[in-house]
Amino acid sequence: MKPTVRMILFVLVMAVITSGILLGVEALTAERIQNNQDAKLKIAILESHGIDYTLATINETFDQEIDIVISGDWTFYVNPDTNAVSFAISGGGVWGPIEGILTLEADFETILSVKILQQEETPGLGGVIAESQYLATFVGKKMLPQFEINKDTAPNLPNEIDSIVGATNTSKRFQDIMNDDYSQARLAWLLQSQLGV
Amino acid sequence: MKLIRVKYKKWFNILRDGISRSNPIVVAVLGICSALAVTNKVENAIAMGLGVTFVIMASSLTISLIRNIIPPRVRMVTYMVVISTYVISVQAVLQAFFMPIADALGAYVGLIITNCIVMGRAEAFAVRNPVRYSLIDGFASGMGYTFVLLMVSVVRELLAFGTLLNIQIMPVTFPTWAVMALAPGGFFVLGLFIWLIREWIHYYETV
Repeated sequence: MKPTVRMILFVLVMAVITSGILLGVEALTAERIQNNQDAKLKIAILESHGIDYTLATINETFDQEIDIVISGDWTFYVNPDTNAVSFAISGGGVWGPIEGILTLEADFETILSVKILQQEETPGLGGVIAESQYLATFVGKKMLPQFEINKDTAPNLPNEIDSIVGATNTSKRFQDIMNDDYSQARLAWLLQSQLGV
Repeated sequence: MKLIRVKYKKWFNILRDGISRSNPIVVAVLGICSALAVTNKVENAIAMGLGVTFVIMASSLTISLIRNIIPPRVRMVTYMVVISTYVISVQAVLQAFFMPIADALGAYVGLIITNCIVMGRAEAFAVRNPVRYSLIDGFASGMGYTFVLLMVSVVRELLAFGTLLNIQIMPVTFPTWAVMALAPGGFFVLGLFIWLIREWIHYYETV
């Protein structure tokens, strides 16, 4: 057999085998991954609202304790006891998408919690964005007039927190994600509150 | 007596070389990018080390199995396809069945594809050696990589955060060195470590 023909045949066989393996792995895992992601979202929302749950009763607790309000393209997760509201935020980080849950108090302005569901930032640098110690600095801060992540040493205002050391770009991207999504979500929330849309 | 004989076994020499004399980071200076990125905390170093070790072993096994039928002109592409398939599969299985571990590893698993040690061992060893030795070589290289990552991360985490595996070790009053959490800190410690190990194993580059 000619070397060129042999090479083409080898590449084709390799492509078929590896694609088959990947398709098989996806078929075996896709449903479980989706279920895990749904559970992760529900856990993030329940924890944001300080609601106790067990791993066996995540779905039941979520259905009992959280009301879902849909307005336009936005889905809001409301705790009827406190009127605190959660919604998903997402956008581009430095290396990949950043997805999370932003929870605001009943005034729809004060941050109650920020959770990161997915990020691909530089481990140890921008990756700090997903660490609970850093996310705790967001609590109690205001989203208005605009949320800011600062890299200067001046004392922080009520709408400001410190940026991640050595990861200015991740901080800037996350600030933009929060502000962009908040301004759109706020419009949708006000619309449904006032007009019931 | 048996211990002395072990020194002359091929598997023992492959294992010893991978960890010391042919250590991928210290001697071959491969995998530096990920070594700098993940060594600011010990838990990151362990996760990355184990992930890389598994992928090197699995890809070396596969390349060694098909070494006689790989056309020379497409061997690099073949390595890349095999490595990517393993890394993506590992990522999917972790996300499906071991979600907490997948969350802890985060972006590290995907980064293994770009680790040149994996392709380096395939090209330098697995493609011309039998399966059992390729497996030992993969394990040795992975352990050599993990060993350096661990040593560097212990120094960096202690000085940068005062902790080890997130447990407070240094006194609370210890002034933490922020630079150790950053890339320059990684360069300093890794450079010093490479120098120390090269002195220890008497490895000197000649120009």
